[in-house]
Amino acid sequence: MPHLPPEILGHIFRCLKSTSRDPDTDLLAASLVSSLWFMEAWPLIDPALFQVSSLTLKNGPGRLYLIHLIRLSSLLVESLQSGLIHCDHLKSIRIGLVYFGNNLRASAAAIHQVVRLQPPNLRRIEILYSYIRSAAMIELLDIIFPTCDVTKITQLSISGDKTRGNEVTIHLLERLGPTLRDVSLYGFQLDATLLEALRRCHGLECLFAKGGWLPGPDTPPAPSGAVAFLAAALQNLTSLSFSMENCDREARVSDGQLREIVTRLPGLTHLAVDVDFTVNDECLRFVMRHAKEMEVFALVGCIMSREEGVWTENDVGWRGRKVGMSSSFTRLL
Amino acid sequence: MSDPANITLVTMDGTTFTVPSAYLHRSKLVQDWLRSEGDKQAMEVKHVTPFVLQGVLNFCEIHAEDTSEPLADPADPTKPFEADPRDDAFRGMPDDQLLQFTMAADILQIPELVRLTAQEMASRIDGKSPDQIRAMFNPDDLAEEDVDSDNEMGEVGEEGAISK
Repeated sequence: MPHLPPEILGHIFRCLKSTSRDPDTDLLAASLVSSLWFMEAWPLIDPALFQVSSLTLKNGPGRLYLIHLIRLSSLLVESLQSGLIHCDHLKSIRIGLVYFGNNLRASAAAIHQVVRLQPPNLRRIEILYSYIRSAAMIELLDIIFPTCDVTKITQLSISGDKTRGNEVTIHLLERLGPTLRDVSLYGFQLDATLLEALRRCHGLECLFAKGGWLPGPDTPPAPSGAVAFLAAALQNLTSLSFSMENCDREARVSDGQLREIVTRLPGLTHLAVDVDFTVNDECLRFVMRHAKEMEVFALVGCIMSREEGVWTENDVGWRGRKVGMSSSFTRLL
Repeated sequence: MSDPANITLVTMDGTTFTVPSAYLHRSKLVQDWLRSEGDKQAMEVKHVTPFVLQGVLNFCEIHAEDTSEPLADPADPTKPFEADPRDDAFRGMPDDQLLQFTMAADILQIPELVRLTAQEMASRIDGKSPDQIRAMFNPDDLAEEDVDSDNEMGEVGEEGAISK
């Protein structure tokens, strides 16, 4: 705005800073009016306050938080459209919900305004939910990530209520699957549908699944050898961690499946799985010889590997953790 | 030589205002002019419209007898701004007029008026989006050389005497 001299703008912004209820947000808004206003307003802002690393959709804070979120999102959108750097710090969308509230749709829409412009470093979505109905969660996610938008989300972390099924997880895997590289699931139901959705995430490099639960009688369970089944489909995996809470034999990795996993995935650096009693020292030695890149290796339930003196230095191609292995192996590490 | 007790100001369109010099004792521009060129007939105040100068002079008259220390910094955060009911006219005026008064206060170097208008502008920016701010202080509107003289700040006479 050329008509106001810089020194007057400086006076106005210093007045704003000392009297506004939300001075930094107001100064950010002022800084986006024009390049001249930016030059005068920006030095008065604490840049750390706008190194926003995440936008959060959550219950509780009420109308004031909603107003702040909508305004902040709007300003970030303008920043992006102006090619300014405020959005460069934005890395994740966080969703933490226990119940469905009236303000959530508006908050989700505000977040979508930012997401649709693809901030350069926005790569992660973190979800923690319980009690809220899956359909309500999916409705909100569709507002933030409508199918018509292209996203660059590569990391997905979901901590859900496993007793409510996998609808939310599956919905997101299907929506974001093509770009996903890193998926973490905390509390999931190991059923056939989830397994298929995971298998379709062909670019996945890291899969961390903890707190799995076998489904009830009304849900088609995952086929036997689910972990090996996944490994066969996800050729880019370098890190695979998969553990169940109520694990029966069919969900554990067998001798043959473990060999198949390390054969199919020679680039694995991290492997942590539940195994059954068929995994013995001979199987482990096979793993050692094939998984040359392995750095972290943890087997739960490896009760058959107890012999002494069967390991040589040639058997150990990497260093890392061990669970249930023989003491001679441990000494070599 | 002009009457030393009075000063005559000439606006961008040639309208003249003659007021007691004491009214403008807080204007650094006027005080400097009186010291260096006070023997001239009138001081030109370019870039200020009659309407705006009228309002500025009203402000100066209202505050002519104020005894407060002159402000060194119009935005000094250590001196909290307190609204003065005598300045209510500035709080109700349209955005474009407020902007012109802000600029006139800067041109005439009247820190108290700069502070008043800057504070008022800050309060109007508070909570607004960039688009709303642009709509409020659209620079294109400022290009107009004059504004409607039918205003609340007083009528401008032919010779520029302040209507009282």
